Amino acid sequence: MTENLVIIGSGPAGYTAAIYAGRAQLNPIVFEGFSAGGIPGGQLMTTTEVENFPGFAEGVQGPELMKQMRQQALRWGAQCITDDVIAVDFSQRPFVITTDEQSIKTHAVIICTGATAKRLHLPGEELFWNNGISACAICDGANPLFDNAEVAVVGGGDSAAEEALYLTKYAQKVHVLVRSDRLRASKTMQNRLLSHDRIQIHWNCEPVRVYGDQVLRKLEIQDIQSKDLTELFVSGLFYAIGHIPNTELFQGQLTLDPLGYIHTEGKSTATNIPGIWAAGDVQDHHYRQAITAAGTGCMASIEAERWLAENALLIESATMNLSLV
Amino acid sequence: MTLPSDNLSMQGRQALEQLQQISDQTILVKFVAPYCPSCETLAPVLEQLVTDYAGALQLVTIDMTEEPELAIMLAIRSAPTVVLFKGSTVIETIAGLKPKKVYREIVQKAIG
Ligand SMILES: Cc1cc2nc3c(=O)[nH]c(=O)nc-3n(C[C@H](O)[C@H](O)[C@H](O)COP(=O)(O)OP(=O)(O)OC[C@H]3O[C@@H](n4cnc5c(N)ncnc54)[C@H](O)[C@@H]3O)c2cc1C
Repeated sequence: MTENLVIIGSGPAGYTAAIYAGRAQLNPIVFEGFSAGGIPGGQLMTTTEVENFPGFAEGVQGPELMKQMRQQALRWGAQCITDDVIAVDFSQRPFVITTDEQSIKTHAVIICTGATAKRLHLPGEELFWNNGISACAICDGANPLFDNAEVAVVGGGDSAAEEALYLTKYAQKVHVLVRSDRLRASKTMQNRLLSHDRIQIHWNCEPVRVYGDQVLRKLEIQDIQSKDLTELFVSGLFYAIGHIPNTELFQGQLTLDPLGYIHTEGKSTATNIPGIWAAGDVQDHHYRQAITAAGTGCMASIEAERWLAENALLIESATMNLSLV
Repeated sequence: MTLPSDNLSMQGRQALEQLQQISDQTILVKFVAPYCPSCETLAPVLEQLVTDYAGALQLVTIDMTEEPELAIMLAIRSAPTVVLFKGSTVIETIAGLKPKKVYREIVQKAIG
């Protein structure tokens, strides 16, 4: 059996595409992801308050927003499978999408795999990843091991500032390691960082190596100009140095831009292969917002529906709405 | 964190220690934190394992903020962290969310 449409990813882009495709009776299959490239629900699962998503005058918790989007997709008949796609074959039609447990044939694909936090891959990092080193302070900060301990945040932007301030709830001292001599964070955030008595900013430096035994104990940091090395005794290290698009699966099959994002054509979400669209952060390093991800997810779904109809590939699920009442 | 409503998973350190007293049971311990969406993602996978290995495998969920000493002793830094015990001996530790099959593999290896 060949499906109409497979959607890969379950952030705002994926669920919005699923809502539109469900309402268009395409019976979409959504691979929500599991542990590759983030978690089901996407990046907003790792944040607390979302203040700029229209429709929520008082703000909304990221996970709550994603739960609502998922419910809405399910309500319109999307079939959600909580698993990672581990391979795709776009060289034949129908396309083939593979997980550890199954392979699915489909006429159309919408890619919404988003982006994941960058890591530095320092010597020793592998040993302490998820064991002191993390890219999500909100997820991993509330840990008994950080109570009254010292931790470090790498980065100088808004997310670094946000993570550092959040970590002061738990840690006794937060070191912020900035590569240059200034912060890229907004003025408000800068002021909050600079005036906090338990946050210390280290300018012009970067971590070069991590040490520990069972757990992380110490960082070696290097002054970028003088190359001098110093030690910092911390039990946590948090990266806030940006994101990379989750496009590894598609390398060699789809056209990517020089930064690794999926290339889309003009004002559409079409990729270089007809029948495949890309929406959300995986094709956008400019806006990177939940609302733009949702917007492009909607575009991709409408484009896919038209293409399926024009190519007479559409199998409508006329009975679907009946089973939903 | 919403905890499973059925009794596939027991809660807390006491439950773990009781199980460890009975015999050389194979026990999966899932360390969670109060704010942990990926702990919820993992929950059905571990529950499926317990169902598949009914009688041979136990599941205990422990909130590491409620059991700081145990979390420190086992060097838990991230939620979820899954620790597989044979009685009181640690066989395997998986920090962070890993592909589903990894959890099945460690259980298969331990139970055979
Ligand atoms: C801490 C933080 C706070 C933020 N706050 C805001 C905010 O307040 N307002 C705002 O508008 N934006 C905010 N953003 C940005 C926003 O979260 C993103 O722009 C948005 O989530 C992008 O949506 P997406 O659907 O493109 O991808 P993502 O949300 O990145 O989701 C990607 C999805 O793809 C899945 N996936 C990846 N690889 C695979 C695979 N191989 N197989 C199957 N599935 C896969 C993942 O599991 C995930 O479900 C924030 C981001 C972060 C990190």
